[in-house]
Amino acid sequence: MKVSSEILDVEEGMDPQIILADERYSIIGEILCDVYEPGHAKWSWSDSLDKVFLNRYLGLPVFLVIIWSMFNFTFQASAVFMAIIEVIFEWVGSYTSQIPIPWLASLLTDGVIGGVGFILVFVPPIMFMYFAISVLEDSGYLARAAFVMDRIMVRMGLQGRSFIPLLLGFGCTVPAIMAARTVDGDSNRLTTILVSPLMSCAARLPVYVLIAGVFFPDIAGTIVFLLYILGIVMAVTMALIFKKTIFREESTPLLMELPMYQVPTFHGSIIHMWERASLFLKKAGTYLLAGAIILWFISNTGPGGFGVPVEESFVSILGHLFEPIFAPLGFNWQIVAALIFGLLAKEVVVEAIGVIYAAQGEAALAGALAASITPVSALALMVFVLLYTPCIAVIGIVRKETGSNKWTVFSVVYQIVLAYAAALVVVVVGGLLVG
Amino acid sequence: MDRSGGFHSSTSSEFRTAAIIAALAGAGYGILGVLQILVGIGMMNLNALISDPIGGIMLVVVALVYISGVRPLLGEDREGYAYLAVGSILGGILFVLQLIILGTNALGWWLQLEDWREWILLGDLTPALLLFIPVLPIAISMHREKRRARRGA
Repeated sequence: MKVSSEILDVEEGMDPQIILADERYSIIGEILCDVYEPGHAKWSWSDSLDKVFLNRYLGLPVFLVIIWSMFNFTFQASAVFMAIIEVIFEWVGSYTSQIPIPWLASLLTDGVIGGVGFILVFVPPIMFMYFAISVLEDSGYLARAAFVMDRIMVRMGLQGRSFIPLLLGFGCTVPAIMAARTVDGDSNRLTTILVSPLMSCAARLPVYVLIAGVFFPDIAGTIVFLLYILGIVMAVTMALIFKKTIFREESTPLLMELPMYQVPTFHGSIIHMWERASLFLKKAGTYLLAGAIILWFISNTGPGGFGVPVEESFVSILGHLFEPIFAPLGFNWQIVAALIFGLLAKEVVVEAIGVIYAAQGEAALAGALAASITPVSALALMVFVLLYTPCIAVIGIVRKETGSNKWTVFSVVYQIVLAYAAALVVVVVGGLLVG
Repeated sequence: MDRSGGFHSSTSSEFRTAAIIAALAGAGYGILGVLQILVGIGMMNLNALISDPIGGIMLVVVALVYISGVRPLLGEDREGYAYLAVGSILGGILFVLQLIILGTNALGWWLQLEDWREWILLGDLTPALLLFIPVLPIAISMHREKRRARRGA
C-alpha cells in the first residue's frame, strides 16, 4: 500500500494512523468491488444496528442497560445455586464437626469447609458472569463497548486504546496489565498499567456478593453493578489526573475493526465459561486450599500456643494492630485482618472472613457480619475492596511490565490511599444521609 | 436483493405501522419505567410495581431507543427499523433476565430453600417481563424477515 508523504502533507493536522486506515480500507474496498458480490442483507443489518449501538447519545445508556443486566443475571440468577452448594457444605460440615479428634474436626470444619467450601459457594456467580461476558464477546458487542467508552475517554483527552486492557480487567487484572503493551507511548502505557487494577476483577465478586447479599439483599444486583461502574469511573478519573499531572503525552485515536454481529451459540458460550471457571476451581483446589489451612492455623495459634480462641490468635494481633487506622471506616479487627490477607488474592477476603468468624453457613455469617458493621461501613468495605491493590500477582506483573520499583510502590500506595479516601467519603456521606 | 434486510421494500403504510409500534412500545416502557423510578425513590406507592429505581431507568432507556426510531420511520427512512430492532433486543434482554430470575426463584421455592419459602410468582411479574410480551411478535417477525432476506442474499 502506498501512502506518500504528499498525502500526509495534504492532510496536515490529521493523525497518520487515520490516514493509513483510510487508505487501507479504500484499497480493500476497490479490490472487493472487483472480486466479490457482497451479501448485502447481513452487512446492512450489522451497520444499521451500529447506528444505534454506537449512537453518540444512546450508545452509553444502551451499554449501561446491557452491563446492568449482566450483573443482575450474575447475582440474582445464581443465588439459588449458591444456596444449594451452601446446603451441601453445611451437610458435610455437620459430619466433619463430629470427628472425635478436635483439631482435625476444627481443621476440616472451620478451615477447609469454612474457608474453601465458603469460597466454592461463589462459583455460580463467577460462572454466570463469565457466561454473560462470553455471550457479549461472541455477539460482537464487547468490541462496540470499547468503542463507546473510547469516545468518552478521548473526549477527556485520554488514550482511547487503553479501554481494551481495562475491559480485560473485568476478568483478571494480570492480563489487563499485560495487554497495556498494545498502548502507544510510554506515558500512556504506564497510565493504563496504573489504572487497570481499579477495574473490578472477577476475584472481587465473591466479596460483593457476600456483603451486598447480607446488607442490601433487595438491590444486591444493582449494588454490584454500581461498584463496577464506580471502578470504570475511578479508572477514567485517575487516568485523567495522571494525564494532567505526572504524564503529558498526546492521545492517539482508537482504530479497531468491529466484527459483525452474530447470534452467540449456547454451546460456545458454555465452553468459554468453563475454560475460565475451571481456572478458578483449580485455584480454589490449590492456592486457596493452602491459604485456608494457613489461615485456620494462625487463627488458632497465638503467643499462648495452638488451640487458643481466635481473639488471642496471631490473626487477632495483626487485625488489632491495624484496626485504629480503619476505625474511621467502621471496620473491626476481623475485617481488617481479612483485608490484609486479601493482598494475597481477593478471594481470600471472603475465605478469611469465613475462617475468622468461624460461622457455619452464610446465614450464620450474615448474622455475625450484620452485628459487627453498619450498612454504611459495609458499603465502604465494598468500595475499599474495589479500589485497593488486587493481589500479589498484580504487584508482580506491575513490577515486570514497568521494570521499576518506584512505579510498583507508587501503584500499591496510591491504590490503598485512593481506596481509603473513597471508603471514607462513603462513610461520611452515608453517615450524613442515614443520620 | 435490497440492502435493508427485507425492509427496503417497505411501503408507506408499513413504515407508518412500524412508527406506531415504536411509539406505543416506547410509551409503554417509558410510563412504567418512570412509575418504577417514582416507586423506587418513594414518591409513589403502588403495590403492583417493584421498588427498583435503577431497573426503572433501564426501562426508560429502552423507551428512548424505541422513541428515537419514530422520527426516521415517519420519514420513511429504513434506519428507523434499527431502533425498533435494538429496542426489541434490549427489551428482550430484560425479559429473558427476568424470566431466568423467575425460573431460578421457582426452583428455590420447589426445593424449599430457606430464603425462597415465602416466594410468590406475582413478585417476579415485573414490568420488564410483562412489557416484552406484546413486543415479542414484532421481534419474531423482524428476526424472520432478516433470516429470509439473508437467505435470499
